[in-house]
Amino acid sequence: MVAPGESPLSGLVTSVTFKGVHYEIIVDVKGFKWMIQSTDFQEEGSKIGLLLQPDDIHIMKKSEYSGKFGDYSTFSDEMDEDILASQREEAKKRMKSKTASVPYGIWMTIFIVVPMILVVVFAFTDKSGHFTLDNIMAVGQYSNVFLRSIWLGAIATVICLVLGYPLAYIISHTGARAQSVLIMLVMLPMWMNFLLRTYAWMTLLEDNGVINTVIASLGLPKLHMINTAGAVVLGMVYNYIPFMILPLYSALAKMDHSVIEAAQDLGANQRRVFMKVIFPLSMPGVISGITMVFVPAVSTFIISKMLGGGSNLLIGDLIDMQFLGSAYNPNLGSAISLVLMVLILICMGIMNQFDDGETRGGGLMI
Amino acid sequence: MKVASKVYTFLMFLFLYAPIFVLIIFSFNDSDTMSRSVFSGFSMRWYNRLFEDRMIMEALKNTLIIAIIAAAVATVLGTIAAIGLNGIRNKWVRRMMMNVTNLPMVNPEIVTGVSLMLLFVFVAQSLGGLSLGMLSLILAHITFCLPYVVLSVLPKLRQMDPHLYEAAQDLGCNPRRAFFKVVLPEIMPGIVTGMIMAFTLSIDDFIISYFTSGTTQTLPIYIYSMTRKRVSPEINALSTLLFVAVLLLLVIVNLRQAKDKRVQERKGG
Repeated sequence: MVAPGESPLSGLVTSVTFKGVHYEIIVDVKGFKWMIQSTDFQEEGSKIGLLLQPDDIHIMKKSEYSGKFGDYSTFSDEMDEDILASQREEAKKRMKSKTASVPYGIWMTIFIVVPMILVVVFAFTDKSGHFTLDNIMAVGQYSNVFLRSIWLGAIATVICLVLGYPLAYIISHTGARAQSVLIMLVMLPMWMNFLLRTYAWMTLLEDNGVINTVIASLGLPKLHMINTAGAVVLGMVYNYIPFMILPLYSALAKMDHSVIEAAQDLGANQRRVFMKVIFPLSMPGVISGITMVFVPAVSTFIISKMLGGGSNLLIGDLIDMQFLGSAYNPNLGSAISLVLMVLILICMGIMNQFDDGETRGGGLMI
Repeated sequence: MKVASKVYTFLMFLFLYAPIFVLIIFSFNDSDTMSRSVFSGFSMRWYNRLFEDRMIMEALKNTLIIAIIAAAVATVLGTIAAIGLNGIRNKWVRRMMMNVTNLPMVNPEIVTGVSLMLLFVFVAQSLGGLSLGMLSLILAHITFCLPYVVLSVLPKLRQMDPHLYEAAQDLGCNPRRAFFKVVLPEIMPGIVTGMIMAFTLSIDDFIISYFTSGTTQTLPIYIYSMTRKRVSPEINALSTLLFVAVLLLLVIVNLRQAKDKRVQERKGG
């Protein structure tokens, strides 16, 4: 600190505190507050000049407590207020966004959470509203339907995986432009109406359908394809295979090729490279694909109705019958739905055991 | 090996497209007996019949109205929700919100549809007299579109540099201006993707609509009833038109994406 005229910097002393060994002097320099620790005393209210010598500049590690309760000049009320005020302004500038999620929370509660609760409630009550376990018991009667659904769904999922993986692999290894075209071609049927696609298979598979007409014209005996379990599986595979191909492609395309090259450099043959490197690395895509095929496959009812006739009832058909069909029993229907939900949750839980903690961060995989 | 790949790819695509091609071919079938498998000549009569069918036009109108309203509301509400969700610090609250968001996507559609039907029927009973119809359809569609919008916008919000918003205000914008001029353009791609997904999902939805529509008909529901009764080749004509429309849409989107990519590359990324 020097006399006012002796340096370009000058300021007004606003407070002086004796800290035992030194004085803590707060100086107002053109609106900025400087804190000076010095053994020289200065009169409060006096004007001083500030001269900075090179070895006045100290680089210090900031303590984690500094700034938390204001700066460490505990005596400067003005300074504390300034700091608090600027902190408040900063907070205002950060997006005050929590409240924006409230309308969404309300909507989801009304339309997602409450209906789920209703399903549970209906599952455990009878027509007059009394608590009962009868509905759950009744579900046991339909265990063969459940088994059939799971079985057919599993077969369809496996077929989708086996057929879809090579295709995803091939596409991921073509040139960039070809990739986007091919993927678009894979997605295109998905965008066609689901019912129309299933209906199209009816046309092909019927006893007098296209395939049989062609076969008959070749002189071969006709095949009975419609209204069989095989037709249902075919319908499932056809409808859901894009949902298997896309995540697989996504995972395979993102794979780091240098890892594959490294494995080859280390002497692994094609098969080993696949089993030990490529397949494990594509696991997130496999899991995603399996989930996106199995869940709709197990719970479908249109495919079984259109391609399976009345003899291949699946869980979805049962539920449909209870709510909009002839056997109107929403309680039983809710019970079946509840069991279905629990079933899916168990399957997903098993699936998650294979997923080694790949966090997707809340975005869509595709 | 290369040959095998090409053959396999061809076979797979044949599998994917065979039924669609059959539908297209038979939409032009000139047959009095409405046969679905014998091709007897080229004709546009089914297309004419299609456009004259009152009920299809009604169903189409309903579908479009529902899709537009549902997509619009879901986009706005979902974007606001994503912003809100992004700002939640509490880990448990955030996890719970994300679980609720994911619930309609993980649940089988039939369960979502049935639960919504219970809700609407239950509410209708309490409030007396309201029945399932356009309103319940719109509400249901908004509900299942919301998660997709949220999950499209959220990653974009997370990718965005949060300091941009502060910087804009430091430079003199008020909060609202800062939002519209800085934040919104950054997350716009996510919003657009979410909106398109919501619209598409709504148009194509059958299962949830089936349970919440009452007597109102949307296009998929009408198609379902058509496939249950005497199957008319009008459906083939409809399928062909839908296919062409979707094909055009995807081609346009892909061309735009390719153009954007080229522009990006020229700019130097």
